[in-house]
Amino acid sequence: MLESIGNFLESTGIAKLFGLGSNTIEDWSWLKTIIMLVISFALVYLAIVKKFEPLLLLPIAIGMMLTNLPGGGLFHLDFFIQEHIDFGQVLHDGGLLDLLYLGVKLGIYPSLIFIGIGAMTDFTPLISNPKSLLIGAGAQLGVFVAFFLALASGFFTAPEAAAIGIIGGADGPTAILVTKTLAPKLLGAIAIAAYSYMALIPMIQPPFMKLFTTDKERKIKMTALRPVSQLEKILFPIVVTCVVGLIIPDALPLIGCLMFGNLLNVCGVCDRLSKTAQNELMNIVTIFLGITVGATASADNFLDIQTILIIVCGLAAFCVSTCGGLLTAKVMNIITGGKINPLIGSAGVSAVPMAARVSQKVGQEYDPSNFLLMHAMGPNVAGVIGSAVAAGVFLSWDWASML
Amino acid sequence: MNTAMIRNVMMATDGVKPLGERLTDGLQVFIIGIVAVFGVLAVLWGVLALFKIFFYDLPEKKKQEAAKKALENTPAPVIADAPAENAPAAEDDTQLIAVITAAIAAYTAESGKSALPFRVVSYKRLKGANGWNGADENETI
Repeated sequence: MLESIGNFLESTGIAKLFGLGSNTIEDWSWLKTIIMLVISFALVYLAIVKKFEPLLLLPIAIGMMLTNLPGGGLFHLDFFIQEHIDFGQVLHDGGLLDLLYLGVKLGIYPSLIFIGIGAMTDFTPLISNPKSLLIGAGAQLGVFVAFFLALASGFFTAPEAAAIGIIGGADGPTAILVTKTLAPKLLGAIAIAAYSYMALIPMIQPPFMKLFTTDKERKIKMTALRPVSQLEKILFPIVVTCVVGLIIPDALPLIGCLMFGNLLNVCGVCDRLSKTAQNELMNIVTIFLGITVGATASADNFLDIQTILIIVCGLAAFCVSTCGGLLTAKVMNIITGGKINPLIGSAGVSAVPMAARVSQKVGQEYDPSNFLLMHAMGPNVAGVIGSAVAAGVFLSWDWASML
Repeated sequence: MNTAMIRNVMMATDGVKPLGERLTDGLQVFIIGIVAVFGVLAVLWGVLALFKIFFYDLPEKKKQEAAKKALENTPAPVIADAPAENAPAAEDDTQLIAVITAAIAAYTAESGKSALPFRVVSYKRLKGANGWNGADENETI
């Protein structure tokens, strides 16, 4: 009887946390675990109370909590950071989150999310004003600057630095796809940094928007966008997929799915599929993606100097991307003779539609009759394409030559 | 940061490349990456510019030409007794006054401001901001 009670007590999470009943008490590992649990509670608070990207941050926080509760065996990061994954081991010894994580590791979830994003995105402002594409390109500057900073720090290998840089693309699924391929160990930290900064865009961007624009520029009223025909809307996703696919094939999992989702929406004959992609598919995949990404943030690989540097480089990436977009828009404003309000430049970082809303809000602070929202949506959706192209560049790079 | 860490950052130890090489590699990725992103999006810009020419400018031009031809082919209207320019203007005014009267009547009835009968004898278009457009834009946003 006493032996059974003893066995039961030894099997509890508390015993495992403090290493009771065994002689292998690891120094301070219990403290690390408790810190991770506290961080997960803080993320739950931010998601529910502060509404920081709650649809993703809440599953991430719960995934983090589940993976750090000792003894559960829900997730084993060791299975996935080897060069060749032993799928038999995952199926036989893996927990629930190990099985779900296969969707991340195989690049399934980010692409499925992109189908939903494509179905929800209106590319009309971009088709109407294709100059916006250059602003979207300018706003990828932060991706490469952060990559450079992370590499120069010496704490990261080149592929890891690339995964950190992609935070500047302000696009969660893209960051996850690149990181799971180039730096799976850093997935938790990078995903959390990316989604947290996306939620903080209304606070991060306005100071730079005011710094890089003059009072006169902020009041520029842009001319109305031309109407776009149904034929153009249908041709757009097909042409973009072919053009990007022919130049950077590694961007196809993202761009192809994004444009497929958009085609479902605009073609007018697949309403049921479009609605499914926008709602059910997107919601289900978001749950799986969030909870498994959170599960990668275990105490062993989260609480170290690399995580702090990822947070610093991620913030730098966001700031530089915002500045890159603003400066590109400013140059275009000069070239076009004052026809472009540079405030729409900050929307070039993806984060649809929050970044465009920030442009609208800041513009109205200076002229309440100025409506920049639709003009800012052009660079905003161009940013999605731009970050997917930047991801394609990183994924196609021969990193072996740089190690 | 202690001395060992600094040395690790600056020099090649344990397989880490020296700072100079890392910066060269990083710069290479930086330049090629930025050029690739701008290049791909510039190509897309070019393609979308063609969209505008083929699917917007040309059809618009055709429409205008067709309208112009139709106008040219229409027989000249028979000149009535009254001056041609004044007749439609008077008709438009009547319609406009009817619409304004109806709008005022609906507004006063709804707000209960006045039950007195009234008649619109003249109207004047205000210059400056267009309130109707403003209201429409506000609703859209």
